[in-house]
Amino acid sequence: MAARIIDAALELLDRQLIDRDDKLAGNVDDVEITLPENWPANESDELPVVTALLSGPGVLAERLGGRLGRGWAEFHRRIHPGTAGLGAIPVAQVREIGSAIRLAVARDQLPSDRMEDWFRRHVIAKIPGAGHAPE
Amino acid sequence: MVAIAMAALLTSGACVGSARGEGDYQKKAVATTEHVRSSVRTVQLAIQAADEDDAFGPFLSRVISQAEDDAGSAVNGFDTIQPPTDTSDQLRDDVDQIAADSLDLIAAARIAIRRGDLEGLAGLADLLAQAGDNLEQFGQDHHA
Amino acid sequence: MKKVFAVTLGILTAIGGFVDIGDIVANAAVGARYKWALAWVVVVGVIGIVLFAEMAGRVAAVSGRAVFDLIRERLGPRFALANLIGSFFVNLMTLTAEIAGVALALELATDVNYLLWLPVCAFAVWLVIWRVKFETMEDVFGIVGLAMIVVAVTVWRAGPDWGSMFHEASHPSLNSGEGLPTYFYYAIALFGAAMTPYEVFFFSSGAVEEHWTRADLFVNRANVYIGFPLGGLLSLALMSAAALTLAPLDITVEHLGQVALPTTLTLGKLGLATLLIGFFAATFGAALETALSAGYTIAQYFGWQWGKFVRPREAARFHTVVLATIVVAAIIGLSSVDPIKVTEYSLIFSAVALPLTYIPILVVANDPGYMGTKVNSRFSNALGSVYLVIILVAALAAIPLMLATKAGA
Repeated sequence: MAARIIDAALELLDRQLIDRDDKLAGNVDDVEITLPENWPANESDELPVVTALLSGPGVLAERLGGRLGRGWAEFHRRIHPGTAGLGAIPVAQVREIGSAIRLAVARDQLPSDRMEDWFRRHVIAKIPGAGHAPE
Repeated sequence: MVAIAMAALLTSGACVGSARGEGDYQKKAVATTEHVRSSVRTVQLAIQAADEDDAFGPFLSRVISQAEDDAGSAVNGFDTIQPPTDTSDQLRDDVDQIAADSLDLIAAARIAIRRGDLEGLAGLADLLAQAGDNLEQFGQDHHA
Repeated sequence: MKKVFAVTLGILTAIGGFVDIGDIVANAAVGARYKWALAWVVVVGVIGIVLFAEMAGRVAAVSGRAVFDLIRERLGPRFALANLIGSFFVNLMTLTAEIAGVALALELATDVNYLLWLPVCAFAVWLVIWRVKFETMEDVFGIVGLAMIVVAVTVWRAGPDWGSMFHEASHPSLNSGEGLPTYFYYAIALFGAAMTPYEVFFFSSGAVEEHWTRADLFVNRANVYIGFPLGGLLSLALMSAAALTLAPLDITVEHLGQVALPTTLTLGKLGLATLLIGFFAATFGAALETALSAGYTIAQYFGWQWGKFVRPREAARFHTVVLATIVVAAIIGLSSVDPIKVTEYSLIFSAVALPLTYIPILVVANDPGYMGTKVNSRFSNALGSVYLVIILVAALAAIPLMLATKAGA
């Protein structure tokens, strides 16, 4: 996707992510922004650049803040140690920004899909009929 | 919000309680007879439906036993209230007496419908109507 | 086939709002106590939900985004989380009541205690969500729920004096001994019943389930304009039947069985059987609506895959939430809380939570970024603003009135 100027808070945050196969793949829980050197002190034309979209319960917890958010984030770090930085989706994988954000990858390649996968394997797949389309 | 809802659900079970005085006690006495009257008249309608062969046995049986439960719990609730004065004791006895008569009739109706005794059931209609009128009269006589 | 039944989403949604277990009893209770003095609230409620659901359905058709998805985008994650917790609580309470309501309908038909039916009903609700296609589900329960129309037939056959009925409805007055706070408490409960948040969660998610697009805006309108007024009509019919038969005898309505007495006496066994089928389908439909809404809201807040348009294994967390919610609701139901009381409270809390759902939809329906040229008309916005005020007043007054009147005692 070509570079464009966006209001990240309005057009990216909390939007639905949709994967290559039209499956829902989480929300944009935060964005990673890379600032130009010395910005905004240097008077150059360079703007901050969104380099990745962040998605996953740990990311959301950090953003929520407050006692609930901090407790949740702490809990998340304990059950997934050493996963800081996980949940980042590089902008290169973004295909379209609209009322939802479409990705060029499948959701099972996203780190934020692990929880869905856990529930799929340990709960839903064990119930007869999980693989059948509803009739 | 959740806490308020829980509190509301919990307090709802305990709507009877103490009476603040003779007047308040009298109000609760009247409210109790009104409850019983509502049950009596519900049973009257059920008997009417049975008489005209308008309804199924299980349905009527359920309607009558629910009315019986309602009337019973209204009277039990009233009986747990401490009568504030000696005159209230008399009122309490009156309510118990008039309610007991109605409860007996409702129980008789329940027994009859479960046995499929439609004649017996029809025979209760006039008695229930009389009980309902007595309860109404009681309410009017004691209206604060 | 699809064409004939294209409005069943609206009908099923409306049944879940207007004639679920709590409302069936509440409408009859209000009719027996106030006759037609609260009928105007149903009219105000119908107009409100038509306006609200039309916006939510239009947004879903044009942007493909269901309501809770947008609530988070517009309110931000913190406010949306508070809304999620509140809405989920109302949903769970309502689902508890509806599952018990299905069991109560079976109890009336069989004279077997509803607590024995309750686990069976909970399992059946889950099984339908697990296996039955969304369209089939809404067709069956939407159409069979319409058996409740037998109550309208009851009123018509009873041959009321329509003139004086209309007069009482348009000039509401209170019996001696009835207080205004209690009257307004019931008004808010009826308003809350007409405009529940879970109706729009379900309706807008249903629109996405059915893959509505910009081309389906006509279908959206047809659903809204037919479904909700039908729901309101059923609500008024229940009120009228009770006002005609039960009010003259001063009967206080507390049970489903009492609600069925007017129809039984007027139409006999066939009428009663039809009504019992209607009770069953309406409460079952409401149980499906609230169980699915529980899954929809949570999944949409987090962006998980949701919906019955994919295989269950492809929406694993959504189906886990739905299953867990049904299990918890069944357990609460088995602890023998009074299901009718539970819905009456959940109606009041619906009214409290409503602005948090209504405002984001009103905002998004005006945002060309989502809606393109299909933003609200000036008329919709004028009416939308009037209802914003009504909704805020109802939300603020609900809890104080509930406490002051001891929940309408």
